[in-house]
Amino acid sequence: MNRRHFLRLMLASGIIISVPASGSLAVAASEPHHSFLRISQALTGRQQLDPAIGQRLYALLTRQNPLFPQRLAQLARRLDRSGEMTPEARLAALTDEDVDTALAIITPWYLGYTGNPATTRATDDAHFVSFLSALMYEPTADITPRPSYSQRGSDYWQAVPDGVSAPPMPANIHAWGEASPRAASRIAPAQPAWLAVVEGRARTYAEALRLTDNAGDRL
Amino acid sequence: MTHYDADVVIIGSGALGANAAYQLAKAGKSVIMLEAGPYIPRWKVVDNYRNSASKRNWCAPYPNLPWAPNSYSEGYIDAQGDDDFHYVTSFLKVAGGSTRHWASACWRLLPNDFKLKSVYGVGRDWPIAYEDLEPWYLRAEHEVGVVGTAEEDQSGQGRDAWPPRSAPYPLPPEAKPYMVQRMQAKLGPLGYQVIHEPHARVSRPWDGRPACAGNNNCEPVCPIGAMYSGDMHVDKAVALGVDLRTESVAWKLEKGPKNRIVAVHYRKPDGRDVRLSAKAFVVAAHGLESPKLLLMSDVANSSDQVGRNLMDHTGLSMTFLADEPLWTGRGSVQHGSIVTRRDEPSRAHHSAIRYALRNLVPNSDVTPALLKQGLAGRELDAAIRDRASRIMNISTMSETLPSPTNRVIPHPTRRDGAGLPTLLVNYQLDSYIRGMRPQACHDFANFLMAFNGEMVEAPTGWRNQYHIMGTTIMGDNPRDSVVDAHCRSWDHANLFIASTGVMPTSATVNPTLTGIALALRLADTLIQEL
Repeated sequence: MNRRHFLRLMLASGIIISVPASGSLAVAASEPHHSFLRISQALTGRQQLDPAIGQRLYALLTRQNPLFPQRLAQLARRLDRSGEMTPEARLAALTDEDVDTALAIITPWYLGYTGNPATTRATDDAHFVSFLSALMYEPTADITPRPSYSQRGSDYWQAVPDGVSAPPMPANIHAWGEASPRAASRIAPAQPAWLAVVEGRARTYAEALRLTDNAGDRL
Repeated sequence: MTHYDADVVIIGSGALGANAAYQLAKAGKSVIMLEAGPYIPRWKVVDNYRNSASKRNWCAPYPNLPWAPNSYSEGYIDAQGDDDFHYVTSFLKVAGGSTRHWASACWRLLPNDFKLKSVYGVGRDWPIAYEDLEPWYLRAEHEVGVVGTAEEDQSGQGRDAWPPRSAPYPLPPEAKPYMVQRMQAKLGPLGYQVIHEPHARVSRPWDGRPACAGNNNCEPVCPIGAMYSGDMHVDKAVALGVDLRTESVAWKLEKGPKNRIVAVHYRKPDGRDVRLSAKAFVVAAHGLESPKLLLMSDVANSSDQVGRNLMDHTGLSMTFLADEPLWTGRGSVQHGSIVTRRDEPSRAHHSAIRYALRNLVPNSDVTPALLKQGLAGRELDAAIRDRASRIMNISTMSETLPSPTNRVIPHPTRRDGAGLPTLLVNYQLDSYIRGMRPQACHDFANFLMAFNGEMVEAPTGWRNQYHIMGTTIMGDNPRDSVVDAHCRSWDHANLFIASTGVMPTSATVNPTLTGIALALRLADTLIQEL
């Protein structure tokens, strides 16, 4: 699926919407988490955000940074004035400090946590926000599961994923065992430019080629 | 007549200990199985996982208690070694052990893996051959429900089916994911053989387990119990009358007359100590913890090899963006493997390599960097989809050799919540493992070229694969090995070790199936003798 088709799909499904930021974002002192939810909608481009998650996230961010309510109020005023219609345009129009506040809001909506989760230590500063509702799963939900219950049944993974036009492959490529294609009997030599990328001597293939005397022949 | 608390006391309730316990109980033996950690049911682990912020932390959803700390507890493993590599490993202390959070690759070693010294002139030979262990490999495959094909050359040398099998795998292979089809289609012509990776995520209903549904959640817990984990044999053993004692930390094996082990002492969370006598003892407490217990007890170490020869599959890992959608994350967390470098003549000079293909749903890997770039809205969503569709990770499982200076000992000063020593590990990478880097880089360059790849993370740093071997090494000479061919301590006739720590070679494959096969064989020895 190409990007344009994908965006049409996301718009048609109502996942992504354009939320007008018409004066309503200002933070009312009595119910700041309501404003927080509306600002979250404006910054993520989604109307269907779970208010319970919004409330928990607002409380978390306020606990982590006592200045957060003030920053939020400031961000709300800026967004009110900007008149931009999309999250990306709104973000682009902000000052650095307001961008930081905006990213502090957007990031946990997408990732489902605040802080930095550790992978090999028992303790970290990460806090749970959401799982199945984490927005990062939405753009791929038609292809891959949110890891725990896929509800797709066994062996769904063999098919060409929707929207992918598979390059030509041997007819027996699905098979394991005797029927599966055999590899060539000899391993190909490595090309110096690709080797340079692997060894960290160049960041990209193009950069590696520039380092070569003769189109990847020698480095 | 002497009274014993049990015929056999097994220390540790992981996949190896629990399989031994089940066989002994089936044969009518009385068994007490000690477990340092608690029993936690699957549903609770799934619940913990779903409510955890740290979903890529595979210990996080499991209990981590002061008297049963796991590998990720702050300061529990004091690792020393090279400047360019920090030793990290990953284990749990719960009933069922660390297979609660494995991905269940169930490889057999190759015949040559048993005779590395004879064939390649490096490392050590096993005191047994592949053929000796084959019947127990088959039994282990049936116990855990292994999915595989008997039609492929798992050594990657372009021959017919290898290694030899006395019967097919119990379960047929699952479907091949599109990503693996693309790997095979593009890497095969470059000389790299992609084959099925045998594993224990059942492809059909089996032994009360449902077929794998591709939840992509093998680690840290299979939510539906399609994947084997050690708690399954804990439950079976308990149903046959095995006395499972959780939160019971073994801390001393007691020697008696004629060098026999007469008792084990264990500690409860409230500090109370209990002594248990038995005719025989099986230490199955994990590859780092088992040697620690032996050293703390001053037993089984006349060779001075206990805790030494620590091996892993320390290697390299590359992450790139392909120039086409591959869509990792459909199916289990791993399918298929590249085996061409598993048994080549170069093993005489440097590590053999097996390449693992990672198949995780990658959204949590690709999204943080895009957020940091300041993307938002539709741009962000489109970028997540694009990156998630194209990201790919390939890593090496590289063979390490047994070296006496790579070792684990009880920590001289640090103590855990039960007042017992924590772990001190010294682990350095020798020229044999470092020597495989040029070959790995050659192969990685070909992988990258095949997909016109954009590098995300170059394979420049070393990482462990959390496969622990060698620390209670098996041999045919009591002067340089800890156990004999039957996993029996050379020093104590009634002390056995059920651990991947007995393996004298690390090869390039996940060692658990070999460990279970050895544990089943050990149980048969005990059944005959008791």
